[in-house]
This record gives sequence, C-alpha cells and structure tokens, in this order.
Amino acid sequence: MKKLCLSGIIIFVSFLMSGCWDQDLLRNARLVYGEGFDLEENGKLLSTFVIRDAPDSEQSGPKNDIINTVSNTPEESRNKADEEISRLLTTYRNRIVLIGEEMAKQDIYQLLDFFYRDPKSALNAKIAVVKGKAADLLSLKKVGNVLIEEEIDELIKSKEETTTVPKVTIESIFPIMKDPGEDFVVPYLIKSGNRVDVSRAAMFHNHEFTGTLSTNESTMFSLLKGKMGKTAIITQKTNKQQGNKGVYNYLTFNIEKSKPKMKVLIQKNDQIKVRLELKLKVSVLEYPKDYLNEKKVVNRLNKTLTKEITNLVNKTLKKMQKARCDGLGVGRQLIAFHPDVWKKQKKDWEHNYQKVHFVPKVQVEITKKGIIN
Amino acid sequence: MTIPEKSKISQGQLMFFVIQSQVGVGILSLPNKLQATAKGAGWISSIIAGLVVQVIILILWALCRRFPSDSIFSFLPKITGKFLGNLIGIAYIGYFLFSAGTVLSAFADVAGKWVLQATPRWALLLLTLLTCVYLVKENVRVMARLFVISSLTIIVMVILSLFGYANANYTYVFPIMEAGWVNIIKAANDALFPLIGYEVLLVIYPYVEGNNTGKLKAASLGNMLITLFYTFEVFTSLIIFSPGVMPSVSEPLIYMLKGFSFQIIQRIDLIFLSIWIFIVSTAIVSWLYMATSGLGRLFHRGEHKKAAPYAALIVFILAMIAQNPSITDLFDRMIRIFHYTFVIGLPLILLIFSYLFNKKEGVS
Amino acid sequence: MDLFNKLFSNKRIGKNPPMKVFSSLEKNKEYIQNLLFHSSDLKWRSIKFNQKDGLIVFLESLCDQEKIQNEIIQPLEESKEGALEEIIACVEIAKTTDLSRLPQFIVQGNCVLLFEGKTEAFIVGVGAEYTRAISEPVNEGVIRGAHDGFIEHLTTNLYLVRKRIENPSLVVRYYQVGEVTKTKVALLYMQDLANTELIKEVDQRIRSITMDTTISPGFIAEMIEDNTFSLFPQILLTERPDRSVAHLMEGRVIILSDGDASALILPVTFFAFFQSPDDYHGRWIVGSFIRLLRLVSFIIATLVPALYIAVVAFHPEILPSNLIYTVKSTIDRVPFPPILEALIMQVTLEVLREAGVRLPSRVGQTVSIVGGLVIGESVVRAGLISYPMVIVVALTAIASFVAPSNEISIAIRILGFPLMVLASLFGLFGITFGILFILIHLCKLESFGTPYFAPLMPLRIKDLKDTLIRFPIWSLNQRPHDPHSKKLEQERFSRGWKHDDSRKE
Repeated sequence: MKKLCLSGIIIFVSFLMSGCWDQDLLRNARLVYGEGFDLEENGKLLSTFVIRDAPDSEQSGPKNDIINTVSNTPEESRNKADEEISRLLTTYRNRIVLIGEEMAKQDIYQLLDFFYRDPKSALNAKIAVVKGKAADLLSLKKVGNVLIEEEIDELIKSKEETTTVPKVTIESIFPIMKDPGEDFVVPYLIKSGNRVDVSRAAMFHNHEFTGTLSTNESTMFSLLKGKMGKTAIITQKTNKQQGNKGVYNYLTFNIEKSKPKMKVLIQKNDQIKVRLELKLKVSVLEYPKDYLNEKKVVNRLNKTLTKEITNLVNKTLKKMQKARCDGLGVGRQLIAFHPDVWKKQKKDWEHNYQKVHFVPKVQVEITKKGIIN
Repeated sequence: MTIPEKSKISQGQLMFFVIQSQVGVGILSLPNKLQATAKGAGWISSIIAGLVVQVIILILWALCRRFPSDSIFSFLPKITGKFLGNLIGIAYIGYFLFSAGTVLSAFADVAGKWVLQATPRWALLLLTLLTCVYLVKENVRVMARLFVISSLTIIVMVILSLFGYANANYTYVFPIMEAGWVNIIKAANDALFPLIGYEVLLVIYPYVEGNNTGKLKAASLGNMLITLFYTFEVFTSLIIFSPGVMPSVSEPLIYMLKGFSFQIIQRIDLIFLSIWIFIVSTAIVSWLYMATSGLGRLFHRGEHKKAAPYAALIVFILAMIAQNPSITDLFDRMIRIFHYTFVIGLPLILLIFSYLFNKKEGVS
Repeated sequence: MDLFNKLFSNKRIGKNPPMKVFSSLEKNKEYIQNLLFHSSDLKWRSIKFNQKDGLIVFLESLCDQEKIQNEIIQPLEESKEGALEEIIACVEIAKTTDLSRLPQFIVQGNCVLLFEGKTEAFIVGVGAEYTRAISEPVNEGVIRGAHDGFIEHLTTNLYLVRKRIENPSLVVRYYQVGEVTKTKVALLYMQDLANTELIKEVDQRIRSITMDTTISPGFIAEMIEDNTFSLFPQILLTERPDRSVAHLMEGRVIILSDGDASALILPVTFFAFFQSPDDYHGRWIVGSFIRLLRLVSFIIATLVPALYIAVVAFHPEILPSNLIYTVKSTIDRVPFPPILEALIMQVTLEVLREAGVRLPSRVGQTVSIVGGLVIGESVVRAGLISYPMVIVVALTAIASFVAPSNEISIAIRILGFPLMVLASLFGLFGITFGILFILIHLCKLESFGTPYFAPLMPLRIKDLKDTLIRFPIWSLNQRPHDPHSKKLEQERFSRGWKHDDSRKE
C-alpha cells in the first residue's frame, strides 16, 4: 500500500516537474495563411508570408500582415521571417502556396520538400502558379472586402467546382511528382487590376513549368482525366453564317456526365497510338435560335457540338504535347501494361511523348434543355 | 498445472487475443518494405506470409495438443528434462522480452516522428509501460476482455483506409509480375515479421476452454483475419502512392490519412495514431504477459504479477537503447534469427522429440 | 436456535455475563437502573396481578404509552388473575430468565414486566413508531411512474417491496450491524432467482462487519464493496421501490437499513447506473434515444475539457481554417495557459455546486444569479478566461448531471481532472493513455463476482438489448447474465395474441 502510493507520487511529480515538452500553444502562434515563392535576380528565393491576425476588438474583422524575406531555401526564409515577427510563425494552417512563373520554370520539388517532410504542415493547401511574381499578387492584401489568401483559396475552390481549373492540392501531386510516367497540371493565376483571375491552368513536366492552357482547354483537360467538378459550362459558337445577331450564334451548355476512356495501343515501329473516347451528355442552358423539340435540330446540334469539342480536344492535346506535359498519364499506362515498350522509350520520353499520336473520339449528346424548348 | 473453469477464456476471446498480439507497429511500415522488393505484387507477398504463419500455427498447435493443460514453460521440462527445460524456458522469456522491447521502441520512433517530437523518449516509454503493467498484472480473463474491445480500433482503421479509394490509381500496381516470383517470396519473408505474435498460443493454450480443434480454429481464424487486414492495407497503400514516391514515405498509411480533411477536423493521422495506441499497447501487453508468465513460474511460484515490474524494467532498458538506426537494425536482425529458432525451429524439434519418446500429458 | 441467531446475530455476545432474574422486585429494578445509568427517561409503573406486586419498566421515549395502557395495563386490570400470556393483547411477547439481557430489550422499545417473587421477566413489544408519509424521493424523480419512495422505517420499506412482489420466494433476512448502535438491516432476495453463491458471499460479508456504528448504508457499502479505491461505485443506492424491485427480479440482492431511506442493490454493472425507470414507461424508441443520450453525456463530460486542452495547447492544426481563427481570436488575450484556465473553471464550478446544495432555499436565487453573471460573463469580459473555456466547462457540468445516479455524476466530474492533466502533458496521446487506463480499470473491476463492464466486456450480444438502447419488452426473452441468476428465461412470446390475419371482419 505504502509502496504503491510512494511510487505513484514519484512518477506523478517527475512528470509534472519536467514539464510539457511538445506544447504548441495556440495563443503563441502567428498563423500563416498563404505563402508565395519567387525568383530573385541573383538566383535567391524571395518568400512572401501572409499572416492573419486577430482583430483588436470584437467588432472589427481580421487583418493581414505581409512579410517578405530573401534567402536560399524555403526553410531558411521561414526562420528569417520568424525572427522578424513577434511570437511564433506557424504554418500548419497554410491555405495556398503560390509560385511565381520564373521560379516555377525551375524545379518546384526543391521548394516543396519541406512541406512533405514536416509532420505538422498543411498538406491540403492549394498550389498554383502565378503570372509574374507571387509577391505582387499577395501584396494586394485585400480583394474587395475579403482578405487575399481567403479570396484566392475560395476562388480556386469555386473554379474547381465549375471544372475550370484542375483539383489539386500539395498532397495530390505528391505521388505524381516522383512518377516518371505522369505529369501534373495546376491552376494558373493572373493579377488583373485589383482582382485575381483564376481561369487557366499551368502545365508541368518533370517539376518544371512548361506552358499554360486557356479556360476551355483546361476544362477539357479535366474532362479527359475524368475529374469533373459539379458543373462544366461552355459557350460555343454554333452558327458560322453572318446575318444573325450576336447571341443567336451561340449555344451555352453544361456537361452533365462525362465518361472518358483511354486506350494505349502499340503499332508497328513502336509507334504509340492513344485512343481517347469521350462521351458527353450535355444540357442546354442557352440557345435562342431554334426549337429543340425537333429531332432534326437536335441531331444537327449534336454533330456541330461534336465537331467543335473534338477541335477543342485536339487543340488541348497539341498544346500539352508541345509543353511535353504528360497530364493524361500515357507513360504510366506504358509502365503498367507495356513495360518492354516503356523500357525502350523512357530514356528520351520527353521527345517520344511528342511523337505520340492521339486519336480523340468525342460524342456529344443533348439530353436536357431546361423548361422551354 | 490445472486451471479452474472460472478463469478460462472462451475461444472467441482466444481469437481476439491472437489478433491483438499480432497487430503491432509493423503494419505501418509494411507497405514500404514490401514495395521495395516486390514492387506491385507486395500484397501477394503478404498473403504468402499469412499462409506460412498458418503452417507455423499448425506446428505450435500440434505441440500444445500433446499437453493440453500446460503452458510451454511447464511442458518444456517434461520433454527435455528439468534443467534443460528451464534453460530453454529462460531463453524463451528472453525472446519474449526482446520482442516487447522492439515493439515498444518502434512505437516510440513512430510517435516521436509524427506526434511528440520534443517529448523525451523515457517519458513516452514510461507512460506506455505504466499502462501496460497495470493490465499485465491481471489474469488472462481480464486481458481478454480488453482485447476484444480494442479490436474495434482495427475496424476504425479499415474504414479510414477506405477513404483513400477516392484518389486511387490502380495502374500503380501493374505490372504485377514486374518483380518476379523470387522477389515476391523474398518479400514474403519480410512480411512474416509484422505477423508475429501468434506464439502467445504457446502460453495461453491451457487457459482456453473447449476442445483442441476448437482452439486451432480460433487461432487460425484470427490469423486469417489479420492476414486479410494486412493485405488490404498493403494494397491500398500501393494504389495510392506511386512506385516512385513510395520509397520516401516510410509510413504510407499515416501519410495517406494526413492528406484528408473533413469539415470539422483535419489531420486525421493524429486521431488515427491516438487510436493506434490501443493496438500497440495490447501487443506489448501480450508479449509482457508471455514473459511474466514464465518468470512467475520460475521465480515467484506461479504469481506472474510479481514479475511484472521487473519485466517492464528490462523492456524499458531495451527500448531506451534502441535509439540509433544502427541499433534498431541490429535488433531487427536479431529478432529474425530468434524468431526462426524459437518459433519455428524449437517447436518442431520439441514436437519430434515428444513423438519419438512418447512424451504426452498423462504419460510420465 | 438457528432462527434466533438469524434474528439477532452478532459476532460478539453482550458484554454482560448472564444473570438470573432476582426474586426481589427492588433488586431487579436497581439492577436495571444501574445498567441504564439511571437514565431520566426510564420509567416504571406498578401494577397488581395475581395478587402479586408487579412493575412495568420502560423507556418513555421509545415506548408508545397508549399501547402500554391499552394492551397491558387495561387487560391486566380487568382480569385480575390468570396466565399473563393469554391476557396481554400485544403481538410480541416473550419470556426470559436472563437479567443481563433486559437492558438491551428495553433499549429496543420493549417494556419489561417483573413480578415479586417470580424469576421470570416478560418482554412485551410496545415500540413507538413515528414515520413520515411515503413520498417521492427528492433526488430521484421521474416523469411518469410510481411516485412513492422508501422512508426511514424498515418495516414500511419491506411493505413497499413485498406489496410489489407478492410471492413466497421473496426472502427477508434480518441482521444487526454495528456493535454499539445495533442497526437493524434487512437482506432481500428471490430464493428461486438469486445465485446461492452470491447470497452466501453477501451474508458472509455483512456478518464480518465489526464496526461500532453503522449509521448510513454508505458505511455498509464501503465495508462489503470489492474495491473501495476505485472511483466507480460498485453498489447502487436508490430510494425508489420500483427500481429495487426491478433489480430483485433480475436476480440481484437488496439491503435495506433501519433509519435510512436508501436501499443498496448489488451486484451491479456500470450500465445500471445509467438506467432509470423512466426508460421503461415510454415507447422503446424514445427510451433508447434517451439512454444513448445519457451514455453520450458520460463521454462528453469526461472527455471534452481534456480534448479542448489538447487541441488548443498541443495540436491546433486539427481545427479547420475558419474555426481556428475564431478560437484564436478569443483566446489571444488570456494570460493563463489552457490547463490553468480549465482547472480554475472546474474548481469554481464544483464550489458553486456544493454551495448550491448547502444554501437555504431563500438565498438560492441570489447565488445562482451571482454565479452565472459574475463567473460567466465578467470573468470573460475582464479577459481572464476565454469564451470557449466557459462553454466547455458549462457543457461538461450539464452533461455530468444527466446520469440518474448521484455517485456516478461526481465520479464523472472527478474523472475529468486526471484526463486534463494528462492532456496538458502529452496532448492527444495523453488522453488516449488515460482512456486506456480507465478501460483497463473497468475491465478489472468486479462486483461480487460479476464483471463491472458487462455486457461490453466480456462481450455478450444478447445482453446488449437492454444496455445501450432498450429493445421492446417483449423481445427481452432472457434475464441479463451478470448476476448469474438461476433462471434465465423471463418471458416467452408475450404477444401471442397477434396473428397473421386478423380474425375480425
């Protein structure tokens, strides 16, 4: 009995006296909500940290604080920034990681290693490439009434829903980074006046930024990958003739269902042919020109849309090939199902990818048309 | 050594006992190790390892069947004579303590890496050992009760892993035969070690009620469930992490959970690791019980609870030593050798002896 | 002889050596007065019967003087001679020749009749009874159900139980516990249901109580409990007869004590503390929902403060972005670390609660306003405690009061403290180790041979029908296993009148 009490007391006191080692008080944290990386002239790294602070009184909203540091590596810049501000810089609630264009053209894995290594880092942060410098974009501080990091985060999220930009986070590109058979595509941000434009995509090859896709092309890319958001709205010109007034020339539709199929075929001389089948079921949102209850009209429109979409797909694929970005994972298919071909081609996969022959087969079918014909 | 009916456990509880002894920390880094050798066919290695374990369980069961109311420590002297029997018994105790030490140190490593970076190792070890000793002092029935409840955490883990299928890419496992059968079998050897723990059958065999076939069924069922669980986890990790990135992730399962975020909580890996404590503690308790059962019989006249503090002290020292990676590797290799000797080799020899010299229960 | 032992069993026999009754009345009277130390309420009345002088000795505080008058003095005066036992109208009458035991009888509310020249003394039971009316227990009210409760008088309590189970198998055994106070204690059980081992064990434990005083059942509970160091109570105390009867019918055992309105029910499991007669009076879905709510409140009350400390002090990254910002802005200005905040608030809450029990009712209103306003609002405004902390503590307090039994309520709140300390040392890991420790403790605990955490550990699916939720009564075919009762089936197909096709047109 006595022994038990004594040992219990010793253990308890020894715990208490030594203290709580891993404490990470929320009170002492300065939360970083956004980070940006740019390339300085002398080859160094310019980092921007957006810190969100608690308001002074209960009525006013949150405030931002922007810190810029120059250093060699992201971790070093973080330490430098920590020295400049009071309390502790904590990045576990980071929401966005922006990389400037020039910086992205060099290998971005060197920047992201720190994110993957730290157990407390926020792996669900959004990543994007910025035209120009990320520091400029982040120095906006506020867009309208919303703080910059929240604005960008929410913008990217809502654009993902409309399938305008691909849905990526730092976590989701991690497996693709080290995979020689696939490349990733991230959103591309442009600073337009005082607002942020999120409507394009940036293509990568071997962790280097190699090209951009326009809005419709980036939607196509997501559709081809099979990763569609909630909606995907495209406005297409359907009438090439003159004479009709503006809106009558266009049809706006929303893609309800899309089923992509990719098949890699090896032909003679190790020529790789990729057959892409894309079946789209769309609903018409806007078409003032004709009535849609006539079968003839619908069939005609189906054919027109199929042609236009096929052109769009071809354009997208060409752009991707030019940028050497294997976004669809052709290489991965080779590794998995045609390993001998891959062995021969993998040394110079960059150029071999450009020789791949893509054959898209698109089929558009109008299924819904709203409440009027 | 006769055990009253009241303190026996049912066969269902035996199954959970085996399950909890087997699942320790090894599963967390298993996919990484398997992928290194067997590439996309790692999950096949896991199945093969499970089958091998089944065979080993058969051997152990055949041995225990000869002495239904004795644990290994009491029938060893019967087969090989008192002096040699007790000596081998002490060797077994050493093996069990060593196993407990490695499990504990692996757990401290994972915890120190992912959650508690600054906490000194001794504090974490002390906390774990205190809780484990509190349970080891009790008899088998009480332990079995807790083991049944903590098996629920395995179900939680399966459910959490299912979330990963949203981003799965099945092409990562192809080509399946990329590594070839030789490597697959070699990897099966690696997969064998996270499955160890079924040796507990040697020690608690007499405490289980029912006939011999029932006990074999329970133990085999437990092993089968765990093999399925491991295979499932390995497969999930293989389709989520590409072959290029897997070598840099040494605990794929936790890493996968880290990327998820729900509305209200993020950092699911933290929640998962906290729940994982249940499973690790029960594994350590099982090993400790095996050791203290022997110690108690040899030194304390059958009262295993008096031996518990000493056993815990030895395990603590072992886990404190294993801080450098080189020592951890050494321990790893030692465990392999010990396992082959004590769990496969010796029981086989003892079985043959007992048949040759017709040593059975009831025969002097 | 056996019955006599059972009626008045004590380990040690009275200190006085046996003595024969004197023939002389004066000597007897003097002896009794000495042994009772000339207590001023010792009275005697002389009577004449059978041409002999007699004395009625009694304690006026314990005897009903009307009874003495009507049942003893009046019949004796009317028939001046005859056999005493036939004339006296009292129910309890005995004879003895042992003078040393007379004082004990007098103190128990009997009156002693002594006659000149006779060496026999008559003991007549004329005890006075002041009982309060049977009313609903204050702390165990239910919305629907019986509203009577046990009172301090043992015989009335026995009546309340026997009236509900009018069956010869309901057995009552009397004990006298407490060397000096000689409190009368009754043990009730169903002979054909309760386990014989259990009864033997309880009997043995009660007999081995050698304390001087046992004023409350709490004393008895502590003496016969398996593990007094545990936070969790292993014996259920209740003041409701319907609850006691329900447990009796499941094969459990009840101990009632004279002078206290609480009944002890044993052996109980952890889940018995979360059951209330309310659950069975309503519909089973509603009852199940409420029962689940109680269990969830138990978890909330123990874990929430610890979880809050772990999240805010160790792992803030668990919170999503907008939530973390809200929490941070409220705790920014607080000077204390979270563990200190939590401890201050919890202790304050306990102080408030205890004060609320002791207060005279008129002051109660003031204090509740003071408590709410001062503690809650002002402390936060001053920046000493943060809003989330106040919310957490309030939630914990409310959740802990949901349990129907007071002992478990306090146990829950106290359980929160070590978990908070562990959370502040090791974060989420500390909490998990704490929970593991508590689970191990619950696994170990056994109450008179039944595992405390049954039917979860050991797992019995059939018994779960009445634990976490309540299945309809007609589906509870078997009694719960844990009291190891002799008969397991308690009902079979009670809804036999329900047919596939209705007989009516």
